[in-house]
Amino acid sequence: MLNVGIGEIAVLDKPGKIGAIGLGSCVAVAMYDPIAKVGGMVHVLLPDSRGQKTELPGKFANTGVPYLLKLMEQKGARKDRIIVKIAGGASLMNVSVGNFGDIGKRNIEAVKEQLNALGLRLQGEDTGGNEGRTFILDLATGTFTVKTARSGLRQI
Amino acid sequence: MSKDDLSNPVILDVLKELANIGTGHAVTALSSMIGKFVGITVPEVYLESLGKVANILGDPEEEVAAVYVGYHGELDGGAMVIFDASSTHGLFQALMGSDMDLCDPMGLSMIQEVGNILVGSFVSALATFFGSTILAEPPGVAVDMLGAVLNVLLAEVGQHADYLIVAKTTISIEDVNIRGWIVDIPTPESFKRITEKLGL
Repeated sequence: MLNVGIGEIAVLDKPGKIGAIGLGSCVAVAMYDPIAKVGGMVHVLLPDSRGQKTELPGKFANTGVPYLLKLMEQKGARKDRIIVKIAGGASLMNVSVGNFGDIGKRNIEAVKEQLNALGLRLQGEDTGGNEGRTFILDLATGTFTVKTARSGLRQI
Repeated sequence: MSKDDLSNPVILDVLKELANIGTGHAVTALSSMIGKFVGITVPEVYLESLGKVANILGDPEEEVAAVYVGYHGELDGGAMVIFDASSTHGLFQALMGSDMDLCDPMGLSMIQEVGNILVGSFVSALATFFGSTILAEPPGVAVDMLGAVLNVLLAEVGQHADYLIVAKTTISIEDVNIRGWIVDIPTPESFKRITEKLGL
């Protein structure tokens, strides 16, 4: 499996799996074009870059989501065919991060804002709550799977 | 805070020494609370990209117990103690005399308290070292995937940097060996204050 760590972005144009392991407050956005058979994922840590320079464009929702779409299109995916699903954004500990408060919730909102702005329709999500998740996109079958430590596997 | 600032060997040595002082105090505090001998290994210090930190500490999907404490003042940052599942069961045995489920509320509250003592005394040792005041926030506790619990800490540091410094130690209570980790991450401003204070 192609493992997408925090702040990373990966795109695959051949059968295989792409996944983000151990999402807490992070949100992973998976995109899949079933015709071009191109899939990709970004592992977002924070909602907004606020102009910060970074080596990891996937770290922020406002930089990572558009960048993933760009990479998808470069590999032959078309926006009107792309299926988008997201997972993550849990609140594991009752602590606030910086000025963001409940960071998981803010990440979910920020990712959705980006998808809206890019004209992409969200077709599935497994977000919020207080459980960590692993999110896997399987290009061979076009399935999006969420795994948690305590409640097992489910497809979204 | 760039990778070059952090990868300076002198800086890494200083941080290692700070981690040593901090963890030493933390373990002493824990030892006096529970009335048992607590041993600790010399911290290993790593510089790592945000996306790879979980891999240093173990399997990102592995179930662990973690306690996070944010702190503010002369130094700002957050610190986390992580116990793997077998260590957590070891702690239950050593401190409560019987084992229980990882998510048992009583067990969680014990883990939270142990974590709070470790991180709290870690932070107060740093405050004493710098002759300044550092205030710790109430602790947060969770049992979940390693990668997921780390998000809290990484979200804090990710606002300023793509890389961070991780100090890793092993704690043992009498004959129970506990793989515990203290991860301490100062913000860039705090980091600058550390280096200035030490004349680097």
